[in-house]
Amino acid sequence: MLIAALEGVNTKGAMLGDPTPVINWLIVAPVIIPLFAAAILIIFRRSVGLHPFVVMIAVAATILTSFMLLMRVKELGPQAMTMGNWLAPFGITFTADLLGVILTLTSSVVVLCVALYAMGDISGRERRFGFYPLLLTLLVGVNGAFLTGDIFNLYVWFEVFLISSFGLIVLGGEAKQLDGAVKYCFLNLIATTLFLVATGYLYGLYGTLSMADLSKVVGAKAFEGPLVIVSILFLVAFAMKAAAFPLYFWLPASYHTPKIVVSAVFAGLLTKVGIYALMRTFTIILPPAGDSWLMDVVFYVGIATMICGALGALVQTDLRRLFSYLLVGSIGFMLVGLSFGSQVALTATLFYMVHSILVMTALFLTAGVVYHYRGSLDLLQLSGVQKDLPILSLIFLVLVFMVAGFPPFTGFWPKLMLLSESVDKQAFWATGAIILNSLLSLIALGRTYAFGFWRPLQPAGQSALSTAQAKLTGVRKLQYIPVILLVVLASLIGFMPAYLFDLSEAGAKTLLNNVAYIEAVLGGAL
Amino acid sequence: MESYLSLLVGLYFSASVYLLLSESLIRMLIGVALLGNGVNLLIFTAGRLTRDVPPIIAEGSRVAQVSGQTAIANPLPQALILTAIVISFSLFAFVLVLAYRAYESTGTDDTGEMRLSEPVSQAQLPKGY
Repeated sequence: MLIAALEGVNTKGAMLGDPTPVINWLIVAPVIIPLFAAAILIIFRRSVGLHPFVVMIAVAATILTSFMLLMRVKELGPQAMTMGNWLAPFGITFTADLLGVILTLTSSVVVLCVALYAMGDISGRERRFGFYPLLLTLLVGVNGAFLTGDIFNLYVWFEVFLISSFGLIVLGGEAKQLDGAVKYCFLNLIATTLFLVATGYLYGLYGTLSMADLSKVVGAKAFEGPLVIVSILFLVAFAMKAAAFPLYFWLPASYHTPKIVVSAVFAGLLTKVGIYALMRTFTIILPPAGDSWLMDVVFYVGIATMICGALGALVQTDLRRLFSYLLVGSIGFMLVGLSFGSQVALTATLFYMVHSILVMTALFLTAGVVYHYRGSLDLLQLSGVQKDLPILSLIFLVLVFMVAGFPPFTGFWPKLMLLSESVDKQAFWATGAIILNSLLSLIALGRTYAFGFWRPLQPAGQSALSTAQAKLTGVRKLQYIPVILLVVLASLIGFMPAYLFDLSEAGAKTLLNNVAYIEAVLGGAL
Repeated sequence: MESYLSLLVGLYFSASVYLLLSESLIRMLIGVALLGNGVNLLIFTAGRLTRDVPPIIAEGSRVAQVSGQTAIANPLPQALILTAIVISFSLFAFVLVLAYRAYESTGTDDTGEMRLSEPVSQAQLPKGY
């Protein structure tokens, strides 16, 4: 109908002439596959035995397509795909650049591990309440956010994973969980609403919401006037999502309440989407603000986040709350890296994000295994794990080294890059904060190891232990697999950092020089 | 017209911030609902207001023209608002049920007293063993 009405009008720059090449469907595959699988699972809601296998297949296919996309983007530069006939500034574009694709691949791997772990952890009742479909839609939202090229679409993907996370966090419905969920839900709802406000203003100012188009329009403008307001709104909204300094209190209040698999997947993915959105808005959409005062704000917020996270971890006795504070601390590194805005710093930030996604999920899953064998995660009770579970204790120790950043392990490389960058930029507050955070994290985790693992079994832990042992079944052995998988993957990255370093560096280059990105989206219309 | 609506948006936001700062869950819920409506109005205003000019192209015509005007109402903000309404409605429905369940199981609707997940006094680790 539309085409007929427009007969004789030149629509070459506005509408799609040729059908999309099949290979370009690869760009949306990491979103479509889990979405489709989630729909299937909801149809077969009652056949809970089927769920894990459908999820495994779907997530494995997502990993495969993400990997193929990664290879393609690495070779050919950013790729774009337009849906619904209208070309870029009008239609919605999916854009895959290295930053997005690396994170998509990492997130999919993490979700596979979490789904594996959940086989032994999520009961039939919870499966009927939709654990697996929600896990898949969470992946859909996260991957969609990483791959979209439109800022309102980014908001929609934020809401997709937000509502999935709401469903996951209340799964089980204990009083403590609902208490944590109230804080999580209200704060995140307000954050996304602020994001929407910023999007509305941005549209009012420039009349476009396509990231590439915005980058072209806004790029030359000075950082002043209404643009400052929009940037501050974006900063507040995404910092709240990412749990940065004054706005992180919802995270340690809620991440220790849901099922352990759920907190593992949250810890791995959700805060990083906030950081991703900050990186995207402050490099591609808004003008290069590397030396503006707003980046100084991000810098000091990052430092405060690092210190507060590490200090918070020191006083916790609940293992998951302790890890939550460490997670908050790790967000500070990414913020400081973003505030430097140089190529080295952005490379380090991207490297650190991948490291943090893998290691944080592994830490929470390890806590989950400990909980199954010991019945408690409270360091006042937990004891004697080393003697009974030597392999798990070894894994935990390796994870401690990774978080603290000991030389051959993953955490070391991005920290080293950030340290050298902070010295080069004479930002000695950051130098101090990075070292202090690593030291305090090491103390907090070292103490955890000493009390929970190395200390001989205490009488206080005996009763929890015997209840746990009564419930123990053979299936629990399965839960070692995802933990080992994640640790091996992170160790490989640590021992051979060159691969991820090259990828991150190329990703940082595209972020800083967005000509290729704009060209991929707007193409001939440039 | 835009300035009046901007004032209204401001009013919505201040009311919702006031309500969200309170400790009662019910007030916070109303605050969330107001915030959602305020944002929708904001997007609507940001898309510029034009009266009596629907974005419809008449049959046989190439451009939208209503009573001699070529400028038509911008349909995009309306599409954005529609999406935002659906999303905020569903999230509000969820939070509403969540607040009720939280009230049922914790026995209070005062967020200051909801300390199950973060106990007020916390035992500290011993200095050594």
